[in-house]
Amino acid sequence: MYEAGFKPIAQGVAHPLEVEGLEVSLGGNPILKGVSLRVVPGEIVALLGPSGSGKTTLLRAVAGLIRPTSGRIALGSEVFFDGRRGVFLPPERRNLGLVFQSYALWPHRTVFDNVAYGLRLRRIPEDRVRERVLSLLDRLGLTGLERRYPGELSGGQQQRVSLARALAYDPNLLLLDEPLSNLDAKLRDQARVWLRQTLKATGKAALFVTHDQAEAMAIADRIALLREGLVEQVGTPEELYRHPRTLFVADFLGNPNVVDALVLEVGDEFARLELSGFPVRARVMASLTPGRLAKLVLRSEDLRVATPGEVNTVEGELAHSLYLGAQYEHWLRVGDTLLRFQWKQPLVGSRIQVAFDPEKALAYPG
Amino acid sequence: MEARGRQFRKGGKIWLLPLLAFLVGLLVLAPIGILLYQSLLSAPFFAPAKRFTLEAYRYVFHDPYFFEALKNSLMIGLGMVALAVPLGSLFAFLVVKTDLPFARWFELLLLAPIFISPIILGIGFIVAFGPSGFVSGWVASLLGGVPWTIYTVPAIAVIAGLTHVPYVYLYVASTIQNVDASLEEAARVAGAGPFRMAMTVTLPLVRPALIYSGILMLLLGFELFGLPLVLGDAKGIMVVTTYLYRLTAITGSSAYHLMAAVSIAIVSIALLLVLLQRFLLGRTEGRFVAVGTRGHRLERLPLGRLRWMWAGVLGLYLLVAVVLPILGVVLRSLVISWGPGVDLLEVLTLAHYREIFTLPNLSRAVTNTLLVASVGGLLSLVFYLFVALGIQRGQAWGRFLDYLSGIPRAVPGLVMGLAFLWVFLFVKPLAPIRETLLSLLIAYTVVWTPYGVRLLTAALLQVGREMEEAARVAGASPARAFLNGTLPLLRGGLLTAWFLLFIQFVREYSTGVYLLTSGTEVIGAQIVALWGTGAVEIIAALATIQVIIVGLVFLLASRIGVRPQGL
Repeated sequence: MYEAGFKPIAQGVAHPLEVEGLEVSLGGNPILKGVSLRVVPGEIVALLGPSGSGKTTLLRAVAGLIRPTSGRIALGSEVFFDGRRGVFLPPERRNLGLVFQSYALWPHRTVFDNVAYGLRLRRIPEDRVRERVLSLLDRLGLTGLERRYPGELSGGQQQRVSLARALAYDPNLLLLDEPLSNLDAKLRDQARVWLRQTLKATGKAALFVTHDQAEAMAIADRIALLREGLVEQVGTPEELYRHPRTLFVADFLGNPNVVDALVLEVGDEFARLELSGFPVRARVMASLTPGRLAKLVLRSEDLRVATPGEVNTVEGELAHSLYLGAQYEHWLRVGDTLLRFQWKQPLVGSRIQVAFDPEKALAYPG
Repeated sequence: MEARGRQFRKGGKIWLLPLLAFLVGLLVLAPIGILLYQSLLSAPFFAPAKRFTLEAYRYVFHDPYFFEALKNSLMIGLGMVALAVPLGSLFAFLVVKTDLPFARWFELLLLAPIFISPIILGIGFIVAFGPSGFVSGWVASLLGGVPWTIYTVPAIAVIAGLTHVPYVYLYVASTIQNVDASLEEAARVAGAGPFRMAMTVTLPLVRPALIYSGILMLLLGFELFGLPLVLGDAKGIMVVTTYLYRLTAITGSSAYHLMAAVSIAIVSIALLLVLLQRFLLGRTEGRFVAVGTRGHRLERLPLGRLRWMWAGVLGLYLLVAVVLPILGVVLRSLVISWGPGVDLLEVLTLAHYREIFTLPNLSRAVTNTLLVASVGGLLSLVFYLFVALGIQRGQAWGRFLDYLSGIPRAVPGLVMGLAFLWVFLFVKPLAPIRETLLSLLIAYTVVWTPYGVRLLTAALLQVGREMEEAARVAGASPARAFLNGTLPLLRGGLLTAWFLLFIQFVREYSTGVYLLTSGTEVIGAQIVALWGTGAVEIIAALATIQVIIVGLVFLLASRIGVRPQGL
C-alpha cells in the first residue's frame, strides 16, 4: 500500500536484491570474504556488526561506490556486478537511494533542490518535479522548509531531507548508512519508530547499516550479523536473540553474562554443567564434550531471585547494587565469576540465590 | 573565546598588544603615507621649494601612456583570469580527485612556477620561444616559419596566464581536498555521471576558491612587473608597474611626485580588489565551506582510457610553461653565443659563472640573497609569529592587527621598495639603514606580511591551547607557559614557514629594485638592473643560480614534509 508522496513514478515489478559470494579488498586487505545475502521487496534488512566487520563496505559495494574483487550483485535480472564476467555498473546507473551517515546534503542547494536533484537528472518535467518534491516533503513532515538551506535545519530535519532525497526518484532499493547515529539519544528512540513506519509505507526493500543492536532489532524485519567480513547469522531479530547459532551472536545481541562452566553430561537438547560448584542445566547450542569447559550465556533479564525449593539455581554473594530507575541491577559473585541481573526490588542479606530456566541458558563449546 | 581572551589580557602585559599594533601600523602605513604625501607635492619632498598641489595626478591622468598602461594591465589581468582559473581548477580536479597517472609527480612539478621568479620565466620564454629562441628555431626549420609571437599584449597575457596556473591550482586543490567525499557520492548514487558530478557538486562547492583565485589573478596581473618588463620592452608595451619603472629611468628625481601619484593609483586599484575579495568571501561562507568529517575517504574517479590523454595535457603544460623556459635559461648561461647555425658543443663555457664570482657586486648579490633569505627570513618569522599570536588572542586588537597585516597585499613589491627608499631618505636618523641589508629586510618583511602571518596563523591553529593552559594552571607565567607549552609543538609549523619564506625571499625581485645600492645587491633586483644593459648571459647565469638555490631548498623541504602554501 502506497501513501501519498511515495507513489512510484512508473509502475514496475519489484525484484529481490541478491548478493552472492561477494569479496572486497581495500588497499590489499580483505574486507569482505564471501558474503551472500538476499533482500526481498518490501523487506527491511539490517547489516549489524562490530566496527571493522565490513557492514559499511557491503553497503557501499551494493551502491557501486566500491568495486568488489569477486562475487555477484544483482537486482532481479539486472546485474550490478559480476566478477567472473567483468560486469560493473557505475553507481549512477543502479537507480538506488542512499542515505549517508553524515546525510551528505549539498550545502549550496536548498532543501527543494537537494530533493529535486535526482528527478531533474531523470529529465522529469519541472511541474511534476515540483509536485513530487512537495508531496514528499509533506509526507516526511518537512512542509514549508523547501527554501531553506541544509545549514539552517536541525539534525533530525536534515536526516529526513536526506531520506526524501533518496526516495524522490523512486529507487529500486533503499540503502541507509547508520541513519540514526547522528541524532541525540532521545530523538533516536522516536526516530526508530518513525523510520520503520516510513520505510514500510514506501513498500521498498531497504538495507541499512548499524552498529547498534537495539536499533537493528527495532527497525529491521531481518538482521544479518557480520563478523570479520563474513555473515555470522541471518534471521529475524527474535531468531537471532532466542536462537543464536554461535557464541558470537549470543554475546553480541543483548549484553549477557558469559561464564565458564564445566560440562558434566550432554543430552539431546539439554546438558548438565557445573557453574562454580553449582549443578545447572542448559540448552545445548553446539556439540559439547563432557569434562571440557563450556561457555554459558545467561541473559540478565532471564535470571530471577529463587523461590524456596526451586531448581537450576546458583548462589552467591551480593557484590554491587545499582539503582537504574525502573529497576535495580545486582551483581552477584558466584565463585570467581560475576553475574549481572535485573530485579525490581533492592536485595537484603549477603547470600542470594538466583534461578533460571534451562531453555533460556545457552551452552556453547568454550 | 571570551574567557580565554580575558585570561590573556589579565595574565599578559597590557601594553603588549597596543605596542604590537603600533609597530605593525607604522611599518605598513608609513610607506603608504609617504607615497600619499609625496603625490600631493609639486617637487621631491626633500626639495627646499615645494607646495601642496594635485599637479602630479593631473599630469598622470592626462598622460595617454598611463591609460595605455592601465588598459594593458587590465587586459593581462583578465587574460590571466580566463586562462589560469579554468586550467588551474581542471588540474586541481585531475590531480586530487582522479586516477591520473603520475599524480604525485604532477603535484610537485606544478608548484615550480610559484617558486621561480616570473622574470626568470619571462627570460626563459624569450630564450625558448622568442624570435631567435631554440624552440622557435626548431619549429621554423620544420614548418619554415614560427606561428607565434611573444611580444604582444595578448602574448604577454597568455604567458602570464600560463605561469600563474599553479597559484589557482594550489588554492583550488586544497579546497577540493576538503570537499566531503560523501557529497560527491550522493550525486553519483542519485544518477549523476562523473562529469556531471564535477560540474553540479564539486565545482559549485569550491566556488569561493574560484572567486578568490580569480580576483587574485587580477591582483597579480596589476602587480606584474618582471614579465612585462622583459617581454614588453622590445615593442614598447607598458603596464602600470613598468610605466612607474620607466618614469624613474627617464626623468630621474624630478619625477618624484609623478611616481608617487602612479604608485597611489596602483595601490588604490589593488586595495579595491583586496576589499572585493574579502567582501565576496565573507558573503559566501557557510553555504560552501564543505569540510567533511569523513572527507578523507577518497575514492579516486576512474578516467578510463582518457587518463593518459589528461596526463599528456598536464605534461604539455609543464613542458611549455616550466621545462622549456628553465632549460633555455640554463642553456643560455652555459654558451658564449646563440642563434641559428651555432654548434652548441663548440660554444659551451663556464665563463659567465666565473664572471659572477669575480665581479664583487655580482658575487655579493649571491651571498646577500642567501643572507637575507636565511637570517632575514628567520627574523621575519619571529615578527610574523608575534603578529599571528596577537591576531589569535588579541580580541579587538587582534581584529585590528588582522586588517593591518592584510594591507601590504595591495602594495606591489616594486612600490613598497620605492616607498621604503623614501622613508629612509625622509627620516634622517634612518638614512644609514638604506645602504645596509636591513633596508631590504624591512621591506621584504612588510611585503610578505600577509603571507607570513597566514602561514603562522595556520600553524598556531593546529596547536591546541590546552598545553599552554595546563602550564598556566601549574603556575607558569604567560611567557613561560607559551615557551614550554606551545612553542615545542609549533616547531614543525615554524620550520615549514621558514622554508617557504626562504624560498619567497630568494625569488623576490621587485622589492629590491629601488633599494639596490652598492652593498645591498640581491639576485632578483640585480637581474632587473642588468636587463637594461642587455647582459643576457650574466642574467641567465644569475637566474640559474637562483633556480638551483630554490630547487635544492625545495627538495630539502619536501623531504621533511613541508606543504607549500598559495598566496
